[in-house]
Amino acid sequence: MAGLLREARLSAFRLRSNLRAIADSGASVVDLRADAYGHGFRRVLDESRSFGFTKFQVSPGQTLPPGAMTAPDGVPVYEGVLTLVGEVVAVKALPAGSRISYGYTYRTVADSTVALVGLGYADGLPRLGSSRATASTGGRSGTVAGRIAMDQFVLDLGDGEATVGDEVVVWDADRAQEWSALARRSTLDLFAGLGHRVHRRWLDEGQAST
Amino acid sequence: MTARAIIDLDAFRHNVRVLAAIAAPSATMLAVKANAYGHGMLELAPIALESGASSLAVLDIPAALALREAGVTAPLFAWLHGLKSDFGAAARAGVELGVSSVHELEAIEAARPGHPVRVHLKIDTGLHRNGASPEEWPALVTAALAAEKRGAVTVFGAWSHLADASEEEDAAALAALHEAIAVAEALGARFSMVHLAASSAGIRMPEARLDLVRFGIAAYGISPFDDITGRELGLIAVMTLVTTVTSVEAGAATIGVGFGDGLAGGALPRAEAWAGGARARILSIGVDESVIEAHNLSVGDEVVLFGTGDAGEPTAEEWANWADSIGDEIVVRIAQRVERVYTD
Ligand SMILES: Cc1ncc(COP(=O)(O)O)c(C=O)c1O
Repeated sequence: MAGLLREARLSAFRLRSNLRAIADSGASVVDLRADAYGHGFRRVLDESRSFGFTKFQVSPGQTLPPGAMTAPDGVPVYEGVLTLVGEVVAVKALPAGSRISYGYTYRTVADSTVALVGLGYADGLPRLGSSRATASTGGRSGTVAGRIAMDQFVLDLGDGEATVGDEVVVWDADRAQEWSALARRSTLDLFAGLGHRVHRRWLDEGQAST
Repeated sequence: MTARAIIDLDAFRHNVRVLAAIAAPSATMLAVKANAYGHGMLELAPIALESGASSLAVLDIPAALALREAGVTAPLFAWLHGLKSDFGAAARAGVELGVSSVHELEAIEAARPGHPVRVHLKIDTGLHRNGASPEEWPALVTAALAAEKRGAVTVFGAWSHLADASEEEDAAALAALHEAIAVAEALGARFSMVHLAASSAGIRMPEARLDLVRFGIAAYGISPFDDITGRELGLIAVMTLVTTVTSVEAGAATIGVGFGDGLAGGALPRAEAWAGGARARILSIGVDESVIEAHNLSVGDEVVLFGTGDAGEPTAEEWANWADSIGDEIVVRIAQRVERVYTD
């Protein structure tokens, strides 16, 4: 159903290189709990099995196919696999001193371009990222301007530009760390908290996505 | 047993009735966006409509279409659109659309709706999220009136959303809305529906109720204010998150709920649960399980993470304080894997 872009892009290449690295390290159990920490249980299971893994740590309710078994102390294999992307819904040019979002807690320090992005805490963006976390569009980084709402947040791009429909990268390998620190939650907790509106899409790119 | 979210339909009914009575004679639109703030949109939408709401606020077109597919015929309002939003499907389903810009109007018209689509024009009164700025507003109104002449839209509503910053700020936003309407009327527009207030102004700012109040969080029994609880407002928390003890050790018990269920890790170290008739400190939150400080508990005992507060259990509002958040985030983050159990 065509609606707002809310997408978790999952790199099969990164997942495979992570799996290869843990296989080489001698680890034998893959941690698939919490829907493979939001990445999707089925796909991560299948990829792991193709690397020869047969033991998995699972959450209650996750059932394994014949030939696979449960085991404790699984290794999470999710580093750098997921990129969370949203869409610019509106763009405004605001004068310095403009106050933004609930409670008017944020003020633009200079004349600024701000972009409204269609992702919010219902999608798993921790509200603790308000006014502190960053995101990027068109290769340019901006700061979350004011309180993150349930379905949207405003990105202050300073003297940058944006157009309606532009993609906004909220979490990539580095930014997930930043958001996780602000939220006092691990990156695995962050990923597990991705909302059901966020579409998961695997990229079979054969090389690392950037 | 794993965690379950018990959704008290009677509490929801009660809250919607209370809020609709506060809003009257203004109409009540109930916000069921984000899967009814995590409570289940398809289950709660019909109950809202039976209990005093006359329309539903859904945020985006896919949510509206899901309600139509489930047989909901009431007016539906969607206002957050992307480049690929399916305005044709929205038109066929009779969804009313919030419109913030000329490009959105053009996209609606380009979808060849076949009949006029009801649009609600949005003015930005200070929140600086969506909505036309006062400078852009005359052009948006003019374009909408022209599209109306061509039969593409019906200019039905004018609206905005408040920042809930302070009484003075909200009064200034209301004045800005009235000003925008005067500008639009001078251009020839006539609005059937003017709306501004959500829960907060719907309860505390009578002059902002206008034709319609869009209540969200209060209907789920959570206060929109930080100086008074939902309970003190006469509302009842709709969601209760429960689980059971899965193992016991000396002075501690492991319980079947974790961050994989959406439990807010940021609430540590202050977070508490309700177990064995007393508050128990939560010591750690894992993926599927957490550990609480407890004595005299047995495997299988029920543990309440949050609920109405009536028995002494924490509320989502308390969790919000512990996690430096708001109750909205606490409930909406409860994961899809947590079974919703509806009770009457
Ligand atoms: C446009 C609009 N109206 C109404 C609401 C409901 O607000 P609340 O949950 O504060 O009642 C929201 C939610 O943020 C909203 O975005």
